Amino acid sequence: MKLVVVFLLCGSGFAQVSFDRIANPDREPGNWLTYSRNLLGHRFSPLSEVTTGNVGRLKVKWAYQFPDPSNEVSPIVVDNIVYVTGPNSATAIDALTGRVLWNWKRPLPPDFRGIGFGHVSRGPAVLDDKLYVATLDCYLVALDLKSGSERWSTRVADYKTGYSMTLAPLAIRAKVVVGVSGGEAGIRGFVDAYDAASGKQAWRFWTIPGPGEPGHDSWQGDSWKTGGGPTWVTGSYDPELNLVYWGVGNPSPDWNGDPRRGDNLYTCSLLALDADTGQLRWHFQFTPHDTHDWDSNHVPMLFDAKVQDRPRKLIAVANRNAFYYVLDRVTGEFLAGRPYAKQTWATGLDAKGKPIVIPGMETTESGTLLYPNANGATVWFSPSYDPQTGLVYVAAREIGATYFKRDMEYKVGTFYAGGGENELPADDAWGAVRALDATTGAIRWEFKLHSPPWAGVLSTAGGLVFSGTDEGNFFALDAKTGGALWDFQTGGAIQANPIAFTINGQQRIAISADRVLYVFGL
Amino acid sequence: MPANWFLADDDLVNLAAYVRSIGKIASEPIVGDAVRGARLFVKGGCANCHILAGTGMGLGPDLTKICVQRGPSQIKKSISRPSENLPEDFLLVEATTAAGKTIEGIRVNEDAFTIQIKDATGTFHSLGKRDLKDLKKLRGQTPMPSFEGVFTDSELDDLVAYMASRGKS
Repeated sequence: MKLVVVFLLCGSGFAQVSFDRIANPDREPGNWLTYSRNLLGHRFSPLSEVTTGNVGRLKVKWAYQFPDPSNEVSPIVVDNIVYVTGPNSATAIDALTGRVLWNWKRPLPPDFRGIGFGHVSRGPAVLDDKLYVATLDCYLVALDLKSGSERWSTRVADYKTGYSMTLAPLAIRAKVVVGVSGGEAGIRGFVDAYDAASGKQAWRFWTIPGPGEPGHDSWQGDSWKTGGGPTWVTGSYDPELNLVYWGVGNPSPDWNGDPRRGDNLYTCSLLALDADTGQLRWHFQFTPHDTHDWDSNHVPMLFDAKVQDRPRKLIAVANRNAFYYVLDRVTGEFLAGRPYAKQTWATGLDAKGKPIVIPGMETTESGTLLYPNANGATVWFSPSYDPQTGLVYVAAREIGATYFKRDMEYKVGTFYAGGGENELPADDAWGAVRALDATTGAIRWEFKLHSPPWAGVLSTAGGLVFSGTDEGNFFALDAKTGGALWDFQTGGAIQANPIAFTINGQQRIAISADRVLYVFGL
Repeated sequence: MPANWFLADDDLVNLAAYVRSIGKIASEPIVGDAVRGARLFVKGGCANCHILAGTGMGLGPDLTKICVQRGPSQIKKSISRPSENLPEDFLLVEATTAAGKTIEGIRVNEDAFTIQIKDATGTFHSLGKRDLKDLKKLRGQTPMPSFEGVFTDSELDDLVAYMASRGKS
């Protein structure tokens, strides 16, 4: 048996992962070469060995225990090797047995403090012969795929000022794109691209415009300097348009909008950036002047479909503010939008997609009750676009909160949120996996969950939708009806994104639950 | 315990000050007679559902440390009007299986697919939700009877004194 494994690893493993391979993932459905499997943000697998008819026979094939708890990783799989990350660490795992092939770790500085988030890493990226890891102390590190040895590392920002990185990088043509956390620390956010071979910075787009730049007048005084706008979830990329699509998070301070009157561009927005230069092609702001921490840090889904009988290149986002949006991804034009979860802050969207806000919804000293809560109707975990059904699957959170604001002085590298929220009791909160018509957002079905979820969604060509719960259930639904077909109790809260791959031609489904990576197969 | 990342340094200082102030609240004296309370504990059938110092049935909450965790007034309220003083996360449920069998008890766990119930005999039932015909959540209800009008205020003091004498700090 050992000889077979050695043959597999040396014979077919360690091939170069060219951009051409990443951009054409359907040629090799058994691999998972980028965060969402394709650059279009679909988290859809064309694998069809596991079907609605046999999913009930899924069993654990192996499990890997992380050194750290509360894992949020979405693995990368290249030619029979699974690559995962943890906080400032990366590991290569034999996809057949679950045994570790190499480990890499970067010590976390003792004075590092995660302001507003846990010590997590959502996954690596791969390109050519390197694995790319974003670290909590704000380094982008390139590792040798074969050994885990460091090829180069580049400092992206100074963690002591509140910046951090928890996201999986996005490898595109010859570049690696990253974003930063720090929306609760008064950072000035940005999206960065680095030369994949050398680690040299290729471009930076500041998400808070400086003096003289368009959008700067949406900020009051010097508030732009500490305006937030983090970029902590992996974006998508259209190779034909050569545009990077990236979500921008909340303005700072989160819950007190008094010191930052105005729309606060480009917070709570979606950006379309030229991949060669980082120049802004268009933007769309979902929540102007947000005071509820409704980051727009989501994986955007790119697909082509007819809208009013006209073929369009579309981009869709199920937003933290509880609305689902469909835009033209060439121009940013708003095409459709509607709520996909309970919300009590707006009567709807106007013709341009701007929310029609109900008066009195701004956060107050005494508290303002509304839906959704600060973690939103969905958060960082991934939705899925299924090209077979034309549906978007999203894990939705049904929970409200009383928001309050407080005066707060900015101090470099400390918590700068200006208030908070009191969530409604757990018995009043629940969740669901919902299927939405991709072009309109109309809800087609839902599967109810006991509590608001923190897990992403995977759809497969086998007609299945996989997701997880905070109570530890990993489950499969019928993609057409939402009917439950299989579930497994993992023993730990699932706060990660599922993936699918093959080993020796056999389909596997993987999910991380707390500190264990489970791999299932028939 | 989750990390309270949202608290600023000032908030943490204020929170610590508040927690310290709790310890300065004057404690209520225990005024009852523990010997009389022992007889009332038996008369009320308390040990049929509660463990006190290692004795009794473990259906309801263990009372061994109750007088450390709660003051006499709060304990007396819980005995007189238990449904108005339910612990957080406590929920009585009634599940009806497809075969028509009804199981009532305390919800131990629940997720999207299963529920675990502890019935009045202490038996655990693990049920798949797809196998249930009905699942009622009996909010505000408890299997514990009200002792309002059964015990006088003085007798409630005696019960508290007994539990305090048998309990552990």
